[in-house]
Amino acid sequence: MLVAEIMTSNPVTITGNAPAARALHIMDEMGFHQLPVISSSGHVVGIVTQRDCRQAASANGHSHKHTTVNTVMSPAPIVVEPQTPVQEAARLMTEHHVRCLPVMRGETLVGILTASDLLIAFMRTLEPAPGS
Amino acid sequence: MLSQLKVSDLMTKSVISAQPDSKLSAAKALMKEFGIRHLPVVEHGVLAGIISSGDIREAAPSDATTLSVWELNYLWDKLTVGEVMTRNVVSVDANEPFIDALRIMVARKFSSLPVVHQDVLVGILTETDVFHKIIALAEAEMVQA
Repeated sequence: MLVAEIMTSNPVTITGNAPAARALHIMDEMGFHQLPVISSSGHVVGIVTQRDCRQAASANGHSHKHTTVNTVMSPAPIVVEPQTPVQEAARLMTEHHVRCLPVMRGETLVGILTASDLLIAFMRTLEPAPGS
Repeated sequence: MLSQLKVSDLMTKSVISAQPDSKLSAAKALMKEFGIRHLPVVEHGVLAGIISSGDIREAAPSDATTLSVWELNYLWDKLTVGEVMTRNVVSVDANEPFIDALRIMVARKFSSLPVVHQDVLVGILTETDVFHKIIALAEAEMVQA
């Protein structure tokens, strides 16, 4: 099974100079735990998590509204290609302690693969096929 | 057969836990030391709750208060795990089919599930345990092919 079969295509992104509070708002609204961060030129430059934003909020108190995504994100994320086997994605998440991998075709972000996507895919392989 | 996998086949057996009367600061230190985000809470061997790094962060006094550092530290030192933990913790039995536990993790968006046997905590099932299984199965398939 390949990453392309189980990833979320056309993911919601945020720019690095956006306020962290806005990133948190988007994640809360849409039920996401993380967002890929893109530069003004459209390149993926990091991943920002709910946790990153909440930690910034509790550490910075009132000045939180001036904190930008750039300063709280994890830069240079581990990425995969659509043709990467899912077990390789699972290995990367385990080794690097991340729960989300941007999926890149060349320089273009085409999807995002989360730990939940992997769990759901594995669950489906274990479930008996309908009608069998 | 994959469908016959049990929770005990995948879970992590050496589970790090806290007690209700543990200091919150001690629980936080444990999580940091072992790089984990959830600690099952055990009282007399029985699973009594679970505490997450998020629970601890929310319980910590806000920096926006007018309290002094000394007052903050005093308050922080008095808080125990039992005051902050989630009591109605969802757990699975070690003998349950793994697929049932996985369904709970997916439906409830849990990254880990405490595993009990006759109410006693015997392990924890995490996303990482599931990933290790995915990798092992793929490797076994390659050997067969």
